[in-house]
Amino acid sequence: MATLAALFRRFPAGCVPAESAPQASWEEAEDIFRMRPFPFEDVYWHSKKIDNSRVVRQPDARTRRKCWQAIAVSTLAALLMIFFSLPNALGTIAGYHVQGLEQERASLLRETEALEVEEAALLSPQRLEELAVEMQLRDPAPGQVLVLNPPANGALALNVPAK
Amino acid sequence: MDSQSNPKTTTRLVVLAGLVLLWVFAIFWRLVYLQVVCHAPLLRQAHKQQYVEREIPAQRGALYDRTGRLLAKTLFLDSVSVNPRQIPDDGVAAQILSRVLSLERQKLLERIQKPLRCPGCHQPPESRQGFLWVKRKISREESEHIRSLGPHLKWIQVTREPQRYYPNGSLAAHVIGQMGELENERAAELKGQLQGVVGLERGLERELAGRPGQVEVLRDVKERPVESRVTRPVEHGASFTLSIDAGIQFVAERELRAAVQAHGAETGSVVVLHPGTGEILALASYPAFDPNVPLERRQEQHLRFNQAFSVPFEPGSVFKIVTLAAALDATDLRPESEIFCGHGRLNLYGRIIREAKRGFGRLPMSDVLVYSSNLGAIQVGLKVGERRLLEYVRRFGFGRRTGLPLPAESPGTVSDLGDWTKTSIASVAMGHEISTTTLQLAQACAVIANGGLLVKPRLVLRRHRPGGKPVAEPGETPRRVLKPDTAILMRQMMEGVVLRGTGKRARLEGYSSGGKTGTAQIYDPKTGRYTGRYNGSFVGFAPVTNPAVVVAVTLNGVHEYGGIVATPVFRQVATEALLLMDVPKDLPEPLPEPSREAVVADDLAIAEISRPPADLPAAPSGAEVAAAPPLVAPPLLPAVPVPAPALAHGHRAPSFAGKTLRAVFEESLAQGVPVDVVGTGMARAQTPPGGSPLAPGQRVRVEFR
Repeated sequence: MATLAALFRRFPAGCVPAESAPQASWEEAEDIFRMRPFPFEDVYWHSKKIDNSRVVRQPDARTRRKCWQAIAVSTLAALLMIFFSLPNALGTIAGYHVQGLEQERASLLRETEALEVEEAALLSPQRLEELAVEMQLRDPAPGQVLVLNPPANGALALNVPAK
Repeated sequence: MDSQSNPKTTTRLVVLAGLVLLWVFAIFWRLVYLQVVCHAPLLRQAHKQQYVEREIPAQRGALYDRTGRLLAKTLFLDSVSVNPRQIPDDGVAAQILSRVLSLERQKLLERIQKPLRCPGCHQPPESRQGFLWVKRKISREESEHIRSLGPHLKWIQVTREPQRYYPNGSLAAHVIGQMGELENERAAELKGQLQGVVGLERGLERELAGRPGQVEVLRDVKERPVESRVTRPVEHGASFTLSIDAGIQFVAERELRAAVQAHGAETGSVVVLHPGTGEILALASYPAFDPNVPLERRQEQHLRFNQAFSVPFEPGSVFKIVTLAAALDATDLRPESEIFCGHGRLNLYGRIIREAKRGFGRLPMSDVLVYSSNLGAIQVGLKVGERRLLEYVRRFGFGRRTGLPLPAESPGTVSDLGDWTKTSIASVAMGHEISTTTLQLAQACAVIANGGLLVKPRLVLRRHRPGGKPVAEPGETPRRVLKPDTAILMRQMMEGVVLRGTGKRARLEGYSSGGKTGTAQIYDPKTGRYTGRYNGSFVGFAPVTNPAVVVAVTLNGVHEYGGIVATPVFRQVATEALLLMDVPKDLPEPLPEPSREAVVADDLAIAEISRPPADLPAAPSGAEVAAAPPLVAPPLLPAVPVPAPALAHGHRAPSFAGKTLRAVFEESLAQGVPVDVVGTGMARAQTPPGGSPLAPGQRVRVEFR
């Protein structure tokens, strides 16, 4: 049968080649733990109840220490990896955010400029004139305009209303 | 495990460890190979894959008027294009795009399927063109819709293109200009790029355009930008604040258009400028155009001509202000000096020169201007002399460009003395044999209005760099042309034109004004004769005491005098300009009843004796001159003093606006100004207005409410 042992057919010292080994006797003493074999097979399952309740694990301080050391080193390594890669990750996330903000800023600037143009068109003298004509507004007659609070430098003179 | 099995196990473990080490070593070697040996090429490949270079378009500078009103600005609009070779399904693509962009589906489908080299025959997709504009400069809503489709449909490309907007339409179009494609040798290398072709868009093209930059953008696997790095900074175009006042410009264009249409003129122009600073407040030209509308036909190119400074003309009588100013400045002539104007005819070296209508006999020099006597102007010109007259003509800026940042400015035509004939001095004195632009006339009038200084006209007030402070554009130092008292005398004489002479229709309400009318015959080069059509002009200023505006109006190809066609335009434009500039009124309102006498607007400068403007034939031969009867000009009679207008004694009315009765009395006592009080409360109105000159003993009426 193909097994690793068969594959690496090494014979330890004292190991007797199979050909020289005494033939196993099939008439062995009855093994109380051996179960019924599979049909046409020479594979036997053995079921044995082993009571290890009296076996007590002895504490191994050295192994425990090594185990905790391994855990500590792994944790430290992980933390170091996170520490060194975190700025990069945060930078990438911030980069997304910054680019998004820049695009938003550019979009808002474009919108502002478009609104500025629209405002100028709405306030154009030609349009105001057309609206004034529609609303039947007229230029004030001489003397109709009375400035109540002229500029402090007296630039605007006062009119005399027509009598 | 017994001692006999340990070597076996150990060997196996050693072999296994060896294999693992071999594997680790292989991985390690691969890492070294990739990250050290192939570092440079792989980095380049990654860079190429991850980074994309994009151009940062330079924002073209904007133009504003002096009040901050926007005149021109560039917006970036999206344009949609596709690669017909990459479209998986033509029908679906046409359906989607036509619905989103409001296009005809069938036409779009035909354009997509149009083969590259075989028009009209069906070709497989590989022979199609690789680029097709679907729709350019789309609206914001269409843009949002298309961009939402972009991530899903890779064959749709959206690019930004600049679009120049002029929100006020045709307002100041000749000053602002227009964008278009150049039609010269540079057009090939600049194909597709729009540049300024007229006006300030062309004159300031280099500063307005700026320079595009470049940015490197790092993208992730989904082509989202992660970070960007500017490899070449962008230089946005500079914005400019112009001296133009949109309100005054609008009124100037409106009145000019009305006058041209009312009098059947061919073209016209109006220039409004500040005499002290030379700032051009308005520059109107008719016919006008809308810079938002691209020029469709070559025949419409004449609409872009700026009549105010590109098209010179013979000014006619309006040029007499130069002649008389030269006489006052350089000779002993005074406004009251008597000038013999003959009886309507003058024999000058054999040529007969006539007045337009009637002879004036003897006139004070001031009335030569008031009534626009041609013979009087010639007499004054003869007194000045050819050399001095030419010198003053050049001093006033004629024959030379003003230097505005506008293309196609005409310097006008001023002949050298060597080209003058014996009668040229007469022609030049009357404003013929010389060609000027409306802008040059305004500049010359400004010399008189500001006290004798030639101030260079200005269009640009400030320059704004993005992110920087606005920088005022430096002006040139004015040059003295006339003595200050000469300018003052000229102002008084020009006020006489408006009060008593050919410019009565130029009188303003509430403001004093002065000016000069002009009516020059138009020369027809085809027939070689002067026609019956005129260039009607008026150039003036207001107020007289401290001029705040100069307005020059020209209507070309009219059948009436300048005093009839141009003066109403001056009146409307100057009134509006003065109100917008908050200039104090120096005359009470309303105006007194107009006098019953008819308006004499006859100021026609006879042009028959003049040579054609563009043709300068040789001077008459000596034999011709010797055969001509000698000029007989009677000597000047002794001057008869003409009382000058009463001038203020330097006392001005204080402003009582908003003051209480007590405060008014206290100030009137302090300044020695007698007041007449009407009503109670706060001072609301006064006559004359604050700041007006007061005659000795004149009382100020103050109304309280």
